[in-house]
Amino acid sequence: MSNDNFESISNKKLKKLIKQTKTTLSELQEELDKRKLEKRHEEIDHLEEHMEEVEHNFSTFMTFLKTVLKEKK
Amino acid sequence: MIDAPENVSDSNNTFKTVIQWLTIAVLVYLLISSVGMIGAGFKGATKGQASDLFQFATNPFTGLIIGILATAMIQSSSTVTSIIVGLVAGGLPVEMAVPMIMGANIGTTITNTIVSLGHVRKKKEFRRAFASATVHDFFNVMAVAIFLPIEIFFHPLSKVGGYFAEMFVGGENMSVKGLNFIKPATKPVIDLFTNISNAISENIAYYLLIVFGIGIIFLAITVIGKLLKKLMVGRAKVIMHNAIGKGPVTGIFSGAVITVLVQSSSTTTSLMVPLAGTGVFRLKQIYPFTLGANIGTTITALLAATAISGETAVFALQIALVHLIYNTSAVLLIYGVKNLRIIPIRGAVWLARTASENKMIALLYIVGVFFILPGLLIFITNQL
Repeated sequence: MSNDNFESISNKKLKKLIKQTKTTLSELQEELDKRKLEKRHEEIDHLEEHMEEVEHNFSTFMTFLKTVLKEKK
Repeated sequence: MIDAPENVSDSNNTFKTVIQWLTIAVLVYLLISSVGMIGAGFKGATKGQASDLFQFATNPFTGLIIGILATAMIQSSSTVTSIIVGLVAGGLPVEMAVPMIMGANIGTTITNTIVSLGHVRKKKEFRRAFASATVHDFFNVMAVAIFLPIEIFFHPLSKVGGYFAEMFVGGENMSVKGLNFIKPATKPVIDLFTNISNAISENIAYYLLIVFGIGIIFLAITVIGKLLKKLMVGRAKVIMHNAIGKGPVTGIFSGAVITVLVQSSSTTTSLMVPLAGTGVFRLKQIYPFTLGANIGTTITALLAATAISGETAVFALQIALVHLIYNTSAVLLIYGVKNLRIIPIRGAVWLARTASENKMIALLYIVGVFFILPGLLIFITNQL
């Protein structure tokens, strides 16, 4: 909707639109926050896998070293 | 009838869990005994002149560097702080031990930094993971930069630690009140290893006792950590689920509780790395958990201090309390003041951005900060 279109709208209608947009915006934000939170909970459900991941320090370091050296070549 | 295999599997699991908890109990007993062994060995080896043996560490920076190097090599601050408690019990002056404890805090951060290297193949993921790991480094270095000079000049940590240690330790036999049974309980193990050391060589028996003590501490803490990881992962999950979206204080508290449960700050801080790497958790959300780990890890040294009785019990508890007071004060000060709180985040974000562009920087950072720089500083301070 362009600015020209807004001029034809009454103040009352404009206020109503603003109110509706604000409500939609907060609902969208709420939905986004909810999804983020759900994703965090899902990630925590994989904590056992992360526990195993963090146990291989030496091999992690060696893999990193190989990757760095490969990139340098 | 159909449920029979499930019942068998359930009882097997219960049996396995009971065995694991019993193993932990035995290992805690050995851990406590080994701290006593180090104390006895160190006292005997130095003939009450422990400060002479550690003359080279009278410079607080040398003590700090010893703490960094020892922890970075062993990759367990709990082991190093327990050994320090044993050394203090054997006569190492508390003022020499305080910088070592601070160094252990820095040294322990190497573990999660190495874990973050595992994300090297994906640039964005690596940047986020590396930042979540190094925020701990920046925080701990900053804490030392603030508290070490203050401690050198005014000794507030030693004084407060000493005050509380005197409150808790006392009575006729000078052991932690209510824990007077520890000495007779640990005596058989200490006597056994004293006899073994004497049998090997009477001349170096006390040194052997120290070596045995260090070996047992390392072994006990490593195995306890591995077992607790398995046993406590479910509980850690519940704590983290409850902490999500509840603000930084809950994050700090949860980080501390998880660390107490798994008896390893490295485990807690390393767990945060993949969570941050995926992008699901932001650095600001990871940061409080990391700080909580610093507080939670002090429980091991406190546990180790309960092993000591006699006239040095008060000093052993004092250094363990210094660890707790130092880490709590650092969190309160640095995280409590907004302008200070942001510094580790900014530092970590900057470093991660640079390292994700040039991975060699990450390698240089680890080798430089944890090994070359401390080595150089030891060399320089010894020349002065």
